[in-house]
Amino acid sequence: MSNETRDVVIGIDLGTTNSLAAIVGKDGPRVLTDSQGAALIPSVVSFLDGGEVIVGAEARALSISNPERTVHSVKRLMGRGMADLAGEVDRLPYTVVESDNSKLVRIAIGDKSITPQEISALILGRVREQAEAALGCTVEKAVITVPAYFDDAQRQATRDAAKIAGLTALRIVNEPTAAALAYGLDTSREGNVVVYDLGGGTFDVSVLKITQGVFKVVATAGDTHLGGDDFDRTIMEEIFALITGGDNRPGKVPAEALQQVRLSAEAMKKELSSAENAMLEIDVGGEQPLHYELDRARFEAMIAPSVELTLKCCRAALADAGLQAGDVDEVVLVGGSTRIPMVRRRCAELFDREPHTELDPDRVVALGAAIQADVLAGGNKDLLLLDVIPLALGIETVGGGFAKLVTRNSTVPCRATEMFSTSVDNQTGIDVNVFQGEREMVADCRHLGSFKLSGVPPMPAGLPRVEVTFLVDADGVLTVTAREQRSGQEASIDVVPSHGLTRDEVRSMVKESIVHAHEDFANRELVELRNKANNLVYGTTRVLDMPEMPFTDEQRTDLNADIQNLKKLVGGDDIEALKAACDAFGEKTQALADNVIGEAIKAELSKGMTQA
Amino acid sequence: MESPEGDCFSRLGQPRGIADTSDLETRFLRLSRLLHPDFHGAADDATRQLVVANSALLNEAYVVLTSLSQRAEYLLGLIDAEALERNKTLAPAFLMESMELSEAVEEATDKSALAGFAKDLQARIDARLALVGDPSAWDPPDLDALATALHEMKVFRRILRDVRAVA
Repeated sequence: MSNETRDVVIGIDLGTTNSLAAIVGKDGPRVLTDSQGAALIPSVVSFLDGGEVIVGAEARALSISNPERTVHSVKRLMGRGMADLAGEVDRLPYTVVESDNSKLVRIAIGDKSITPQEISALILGRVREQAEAALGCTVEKAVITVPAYFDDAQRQATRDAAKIAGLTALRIVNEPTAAALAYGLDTSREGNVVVYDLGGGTFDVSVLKITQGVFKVVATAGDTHLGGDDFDRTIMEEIFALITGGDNRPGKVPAEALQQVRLSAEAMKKELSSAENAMLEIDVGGEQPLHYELDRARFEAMIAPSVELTLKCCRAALADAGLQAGDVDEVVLVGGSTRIPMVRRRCAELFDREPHTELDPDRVVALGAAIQADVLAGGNKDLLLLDVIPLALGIETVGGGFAKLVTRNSTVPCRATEMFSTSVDNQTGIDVNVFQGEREMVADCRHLGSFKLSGVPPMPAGLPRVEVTFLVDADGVLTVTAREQRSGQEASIDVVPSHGLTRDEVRSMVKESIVHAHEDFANRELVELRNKANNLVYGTTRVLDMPEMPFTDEQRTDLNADIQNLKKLVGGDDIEALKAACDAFGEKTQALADNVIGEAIKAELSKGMTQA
Repeated sequence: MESPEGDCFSRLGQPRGIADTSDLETRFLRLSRLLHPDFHGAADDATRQLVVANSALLNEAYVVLTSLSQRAEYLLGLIDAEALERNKTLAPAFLMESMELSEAVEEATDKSALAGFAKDLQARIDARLALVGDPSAWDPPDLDALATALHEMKVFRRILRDVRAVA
């Protein structure tokens, strides 16, 4: 439909340290800046005593004066439990606690606590504000990037954060893949590309094969707990040792000093990318300020084990892709930590070629996200991204074994089905535990959640056959459905995420969201319904316009009447009528949808056959 | 409903057979462009769900058809669903030999010995891949020989995984 105004869809890099947005305009992708020309928004949120919430650069500035109520690096907490963060939370100036009803961590602010999802939502809200100011229009849809090695819980947490921020995350895209898009845009390049992405909190490496405009990820590896923050921490440990005379137990360090040392360590690390030496003087309340010096050689020795870990991941990803280092055509470096000369040097050595660093490593991911956003908005039809699931998905078997149903590096969307039965006569429910990981035993994998199959018809043990389908969507997020084969009955499933929020929790957070406290919820529901109706009208009109569709005149008249009715309701503000019309029309077009897709495939297949 | 249902060959419009026709990837990419959720973002929920499911079926078919061992096992299952099960019991001589090999791997410590085992195992796997990948083995299909080769390959793969775990 030519007169369709395309949705504004932005790309957002929701980073550990900084976040930013980008969009594809007439002249290609560009980052969206504030009035001063700054694009990067520090991923920091500060809660003032009076209840005011500050996000971004101003919050970062408060991290020394308001350390216990200023949250940085929240991305490292997304979808994580206390057990995942051992040894890390002690070095955060704010307090991390466990939720009452799940393993999800929360951040204590005074006598209240808030989830990482809500903090991320605040950051996303700020990014959105900046984007809306830059574009001069409202923004409701976005593509948001995550580390490729994020598991299901971390991806789901990111999606929930977007929801809480009132944004529709059209797609969760892996950061290295986004970077490859940004680099691959200008040419019709073909070949094998390795993206090495070392950010503030995470490391990813992805191997992509580019053919005819299709970016197919063939392997990915990484570590969601390895990044620039860790380099800062090695420096921090030395400084603490100096301050406390070797006794550097975390409890000894007040929050304010911790924050000051952290910022100093980060500054020294950055300085060592260009200088050979960095120096620090800290006032610790004694007669003399404390003097600490670090040269590049020693810094490199300190971070060498971490850098070697990243190279090991690179080798593993190459092996998974079935490639030798020599088969790699291009290497792309992404993430602020790839400014470190040692990182560049070691990468160049491993792949025996000079890596690409032309694009700003802090911006390239957002630019790539914008390109993907453009594809989803319908602006770019040449490019297709085929990404993978980073870690195997499976279920617990008898004795705590892990049965992998979907292997790592499977192209998404992907699916697997598994048959379950009962072990006791007349059993009507079956419990299933879902895990993600690469090890043999579930104890070494990550528990994503449990679900109970209920409504199994009472039968002798072993007789019911419940087919459970695990479907991983293009975001790498899992959904589970089940059907009892003998009765044909749809068994119901209630998935309880072990490190995430339930649907109801997300819903209530959306309502209570600080970001949208000023908004009328009913009004927002109307906006969402209007979007849905518009989508329905758009999709159906497009199908009706296809000459090859075998519709009867009667069907056409009927559908056109419905379309006119929907259009009329979209213009009004009767929520209930619009909702009812949408639901009815959606049901009617479901059958239509099945048919259309089938036709398209048939046409394509017959085309392929005659060419072959 | 006409969708990429049916077996993996028909989903990708490929003739049923062991030999890979060279346009498999082109066909996969072309169908992906039709089916991938990215190109159906504006559709309604029902269509989008269908698109994701169909896209998953297509991806599954591509994986099965591009891996020679998976393709062989799948094809064998289509010809005779019981063939693999029927040939599950491997010859005593083979079992003895693989057990000895497995024990030798367990006892090996130095890198060069492990590398030697890895090379040996890979050669054994490759030999069976060559067997199942030979079109003449399927015309007419020698079901028992094919099933046995696939089972033996799995045994060697398991030992090879142990070697890699130690190395």
